[in-house]
Amino acid sequence: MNLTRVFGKAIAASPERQQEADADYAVVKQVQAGDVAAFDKLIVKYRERLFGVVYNLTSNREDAADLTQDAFIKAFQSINRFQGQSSFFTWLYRIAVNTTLTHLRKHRHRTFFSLENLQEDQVSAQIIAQLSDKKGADRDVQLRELQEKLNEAMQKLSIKHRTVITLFEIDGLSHAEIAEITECSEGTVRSRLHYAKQFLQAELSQYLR
Amino acid sequence: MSSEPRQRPTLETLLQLKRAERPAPEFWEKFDRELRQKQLAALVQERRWWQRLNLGLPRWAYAPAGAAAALALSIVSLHMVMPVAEAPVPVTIQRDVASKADTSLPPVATNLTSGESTPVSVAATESASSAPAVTGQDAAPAPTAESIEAGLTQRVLAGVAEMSPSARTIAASLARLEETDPDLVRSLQTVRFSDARPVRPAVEVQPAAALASWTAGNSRISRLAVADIAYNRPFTPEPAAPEVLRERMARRLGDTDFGNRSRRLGVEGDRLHLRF
Repeated sequence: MNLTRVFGKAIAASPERQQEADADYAVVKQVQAGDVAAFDKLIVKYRERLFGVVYNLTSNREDAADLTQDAFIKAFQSINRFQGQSSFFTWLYRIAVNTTLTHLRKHRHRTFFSLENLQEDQVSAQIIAQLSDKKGADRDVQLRELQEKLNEAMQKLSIKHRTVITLFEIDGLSHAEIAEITECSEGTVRSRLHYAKQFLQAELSQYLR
Repeated sequence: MSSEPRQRPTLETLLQLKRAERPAPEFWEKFDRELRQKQLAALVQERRWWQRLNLGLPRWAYAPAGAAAALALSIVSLHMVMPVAEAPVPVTIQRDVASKADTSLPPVATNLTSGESTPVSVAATESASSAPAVTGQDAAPAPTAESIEAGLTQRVLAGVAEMSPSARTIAASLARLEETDPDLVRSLQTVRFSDARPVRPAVEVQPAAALASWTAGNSRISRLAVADIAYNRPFTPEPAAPEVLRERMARRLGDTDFGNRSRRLGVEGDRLHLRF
């Protein structure tokens, strides 16, 4: 069984993830050997996912772009210290999350939204139908309102809770991976997730079932 | 309206909406361009020394290592400061030696003034053959810091045999020092623990007599010191201000004229002046 180390403990990783981690590590080895251009492969591979995480933490497109770039730069500068004890993507995520958390703590009182447009082709028709019973422009307005309300509620969450729910519900990471990225136990991750869901449910009660 | 509850989404469905919040493809062109610039800047930029520092420590060990370094630094700096903190002990003994050395001072002709403009008037006697002796109107002067120090030093002298080994060593060192460099010991006379009160009377030194009896057989530094004391620095604990300044201060402090006071206050625009 393929294993990934988290805080000295070995956890089971899915074969796909392990394969992906091995491929990433091979590229990292190239970069460490001096092939700087190989790092571009990693950028292209992870930029959208990383941007998504940072964007959902900040709810600001410009900040998210800057922070994602900063995370890539930091990873690039520290690539020689990457020993392959964890997968590259969790390492990269950890850098991005820490960079974002530092930014959010520094600018705690400066919150304004700069939201991305919804790419409706990314959402199934079934979900759209669940979210809005209207058609055309009315539906767009309704979806936009839901989007804003959800972002407002997310921003009311503490940074730690927001991180957990973003990584789990939006990015689809497992509890173990989130635990590794946020450097806490899986139990803490579950607890934070539970609290965050309860909070959002209460905040958005008039829109939710 | 009856179908409204059925159409309300769950939280999970709503969160899936967030996945669809994605930037347009042209956004990534700009993103890549900026990232490339930052990457090049990072390659060119000199890294700070602490960023280049690779101690080979695990991450969790940084805080304890930092704390240990800070503690070590504190201890080292404390050790460097300690000799200053221990200074009072040798000073006490030196003070004693200095008081002993008083007797070896050359006889300085003194002329004690009394009833002048000094705040405390002192009826003084003159003694040409010994160190200046002050005889106040009160036969038994109030205990001063000086007298307390003198008492302490006498007690220390009297009990040399009962002194601790370190104190005995210090006393022996001082005795040796007195033999080898009496000027240095004499110069320690000027060391004071605190200001002596009541105020000693001003001593008017007669430079010629002092120099005549003192310069012979002494080092150049001592001669210069005596000359400086004799010509420039009268032995007054609170040196008097120049006459003009004293007069001006007295006039200002004693000024009761309302007109003068009102002239000190002035209003100019939104400012209020008070002249002293």
